[in-house]
This record gives sequence, C-alpha cells and structure tokens, in this order.
Amino acid sequence: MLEDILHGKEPSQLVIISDSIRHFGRTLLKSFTKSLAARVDEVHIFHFDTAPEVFLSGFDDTTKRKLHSHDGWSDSLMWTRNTKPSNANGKLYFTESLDLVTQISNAKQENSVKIAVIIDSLTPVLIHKYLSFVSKALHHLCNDTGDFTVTQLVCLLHNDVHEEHTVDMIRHSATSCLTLSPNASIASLYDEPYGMCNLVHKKLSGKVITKYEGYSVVDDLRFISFDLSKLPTTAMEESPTETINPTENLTFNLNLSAKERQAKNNIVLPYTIQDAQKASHLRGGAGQIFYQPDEADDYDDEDPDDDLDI
Amino acid sequence: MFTELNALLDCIPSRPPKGQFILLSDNLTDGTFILHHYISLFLKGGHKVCLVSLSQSFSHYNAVGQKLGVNLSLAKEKNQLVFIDGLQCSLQLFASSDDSMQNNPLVCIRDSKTTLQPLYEMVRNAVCNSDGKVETPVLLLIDDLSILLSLGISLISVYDFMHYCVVMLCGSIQSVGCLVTLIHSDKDEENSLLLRHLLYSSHLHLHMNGLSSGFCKDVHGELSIHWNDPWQILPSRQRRKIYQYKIQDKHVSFFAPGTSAAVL
Repeated sequence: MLEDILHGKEPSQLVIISDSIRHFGRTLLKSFTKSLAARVDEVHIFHFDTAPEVFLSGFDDTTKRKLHSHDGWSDSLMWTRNTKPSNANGKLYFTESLDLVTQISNAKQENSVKIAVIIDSLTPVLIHKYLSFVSKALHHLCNDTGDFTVTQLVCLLHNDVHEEHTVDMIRHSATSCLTLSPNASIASLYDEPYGMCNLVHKKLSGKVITKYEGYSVVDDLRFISFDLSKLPTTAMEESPTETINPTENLTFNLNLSAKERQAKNNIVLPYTIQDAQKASHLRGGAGQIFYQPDEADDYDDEDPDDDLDI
Repeated sequence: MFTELNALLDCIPSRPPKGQFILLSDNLTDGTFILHHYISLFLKGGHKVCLVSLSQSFSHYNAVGQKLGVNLSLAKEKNQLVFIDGLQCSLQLFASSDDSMQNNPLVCIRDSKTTLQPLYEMVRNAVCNSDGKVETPVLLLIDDLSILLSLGISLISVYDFMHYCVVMLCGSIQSVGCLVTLIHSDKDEENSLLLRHLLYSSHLHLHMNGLSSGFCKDVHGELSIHWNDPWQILPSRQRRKIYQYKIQDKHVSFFAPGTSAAVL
C-alpha cells in the first residue's frame, strides 16, 4: 500500500510522514520527492529543518532539474539579514506573512500545471505560527491554488515535540498518515526493513485502510517494501502444536472403561471417615480430656494462687 | 582531553570534529566532564574556542583546564579563547534596576518581548571572521541550556538561538564549526522537550546516566553514544553504543557495562 501511494498508483493528496527521535523520516520524504519529480512538472520544496543544499544532495541531475527550493531555514527570523547581501528570492521568514501558494506562483514556470509540494518539516512552522495557520495553509495548498494544481503535498512532522491534539489535528486533515518507527536490525537495508510504517489511508470512496508495513530506502533513494509475513523476524507466529496424548502407546493400561470406573468409585478406602460415622462421633456428648503426666513433668498439687490475698 | 573518549568517538586529536552539532545530556549525574574534554581538545589543537558560560565562573574552567594540561588564561590573552560570562550578565539583570541594560545579551530575561538575538550576535562576532563567515575550525560551547530555561527564557527563544548557532557553525556540508552544548534532562518536562527538539538537528548525542542502583565507587555512570544522521544523505541505520565510566583525577576510564572493578 505504501509503495502504491509513493508511486502514485493510489491517489492521496495530503501525505503526513510523522517521525520521532528514534527514527527520522527524512529518507522516506526524499524517496517521495524523487518519485514525484518523475510524475509532475515541478516539485516545490519548503525547507524549514535542513539546509536546501543538504536536502538536495543525493538526488540525480534529472530529478534536481525539477526541484525548486524555498529556503525557510537559513534566516527564518531575519536575525542576519542586515549583514548579508540581501537575496530575498526564495527566502521565507516567520516574521512576515508566510503565504506558500504565492511563493509557488512566483517561482514556478508559466507552463507548469501539475505541481507537487514537499514541506521539510512542519515542526518549525507550528512552533512559530499557530496551528490554525498551518491547517489553513495546508487546506489552501490542496484546494485553492488558482492556475496550478497540487498533485500531492507531502509533509514531515516530528511527532514527539508537539502536544497530542496538535498532531491529531494535522493528521486528521491528511488523506494518508504514515507513522514511522525503528526496526532494530543489523542486516543490510536490502534484506531487512529500515523502519516500520503504520499507515492510515483514506480512499477517495471514503474507505479507511490501516496497514503495518516494513520499508527501506536504499542508496539511490529507491524504495523497497517488505512483506512482513515473509520476514524471518516476524514469521514467528506459532503454528498450533498438536496436543500430545500421554496415554497413547504405553505398555500398560492407564485408561478405564465405564464399568471399571464404577467399580473404582464404589470402593471405600480404609481410614476414610464416612458421613454416618462422623455424625455418631459428634452426637457422643461433651468431650473429655485425659492427661497422663510424664515423669519429667513438674506437677504441682498446690494452688498457685494460694498466697494471693484478694 | 580524554584519549579513551576520543577512541570511542572515532575522533583523531589532530583533526577535531568539523561541522558537527554535539549534544550532551545528563540524568541523575553530572556530565560536565565531557565539556572540559572538548575545551581541551580544541585548545590543544590550536583552534579557536568560544565559551558561553552560564553555570560556572572563568576560574572554574581555568582550574579544570590546568588539570587537563591547558592554560585557559593564556589562551584568553592570546585571543584563542573568547569567554562570555553569562553568569555575570544574568546577575546584573537581576541586581541593578537601571534601564542601561539594553546591551546585555540576556536582556530577554527582563523583557519577554525580546529574543536571544543579542547573545547570538555576541557569539557571532566571536567566532566569525570579518566577512561574517566561519572558515577555520572553531568550537562554540554553551554550558548549559537548562539554565537559560531556568532563568525564565521561553523554550522557543532558546530553540531559535540554537537554530541560528547550528546555521552558523554546522548547518551545511561545507561547515567547519563545532557546536557543543549540555542539557540536564532530569524529569523536567521543558528540558526534555528542548532536548527532543535539538536531537532532530544534532549529529552526535552523548547521554550520561547515573546508575539506577545508586552510588558505586568504581562506576560513576553510564554513557550512551548515539550517532544521529539528521541529514540522511545516504540512508543508513542509526548506530549506538553504551559504556560505563569512572572519573579519575586527570582522566576518565571507559569500559563495557558490567566489567568494572566492582564486578570482576
């Protein structure tokens, strides 16, 4: 399923990749970028978490030609604007109104219609702007863009630095939500998954699909999907073991026939107190205590309280 | 400089870490000894160091430096070391009431509308050359970020300040600077949140943990080393290692968990 979404076989307009400090989701985001570049006219990338050059390294030249960077990383608060030669093109500032749609319109070539958008990542935007701002911006990008259409919008979101309701709100608006977790392994990325992905996908028909898949992204940002049922680590499901009958194949007989069982139940075992015997004992009146002093017993006939003057 | 630690971190003393953000955190123990390791590593290599101190005075670092074989006073005179005395700056803000504090780098303690930009500019002047660039290996060490939070500075301000330090020193592939900072992550929610935020941009995370069984004279704590790969240019699995350590008079010895003198 994840592979279908990545390669565009299964349409999904807004994809949220939520990662954690235990497992970063940037490789998957880059794999999405590469796949999108092959399908659309232009891919616009908003960098808030890493330097544009860092993100762009690793892509081949054909892919790079289709990528357009918008730098919201190097001087997002205008702290260094005065000392550097101002090159406002493609720079984003949290201190100004951050209109992603206008940014794309200004940067795109005129004949490009199909556009994909990558946001790396939403976390700094959520910190500096409000949640409502981010929700509106995502909605705006998906539905109301004017002269171009956004085929797919893929956003990275760091799961463990926001409040739960913030993450839930963002996820709610997504058509596909990929929650990543690590896969402890030392095998090569070709043999065992790099990470695990919990996928919730809303189909156009309204059906919601939930899947748990393994994935790897290898050297040339190629995506590999793993069928969890074929992996040695997850193929540990125990086959129902046959219950062994210990009385089978013995040299002697441990089983009882019905007749034998009845005969066995009728026998009264020695030293067993029967109900009638028990009742006669109880009816026998007050009990008596017989005490036979031992030789070693120091038995005193005198009243021990004799000297008390009460 | 602890030679054993260099070996664990694959660091050659003549070539100190370049373009790296090294994040230290400690829990139920004191992890400041690693800070002194990095100060002496850079000073011995003849590189520039900028030390933003919020927790100790200069004489403290100088005394520890002398034990490790570096003279901080001399380095300061030669301009190899720039010491920003955050302790003094924060005290001035609390102690004096006049309004002439606008030049104080920590003015945002008093005025919540301002940011840590003055501190950033002070640091930038210390580490950058006249063109505003970092071209030679330089260490920026901040001891420690938890104090900024404790002084009442908002988490976002500290996060922004750190973001700009990362951009300046170790944000891109060509960067040659090195950023080292410490956060105490004992149970405090704000500290843990800041730590998680910074982990997304750090290259190396060293976490010092006290022993859960309590004091032991042969083991002072546990060090876990995580090699993070925030850029993920080539996909690879995250590496991590765990060691126990014992701090001695002039060096620290590291050993595999369970192989201390108390056990063997």
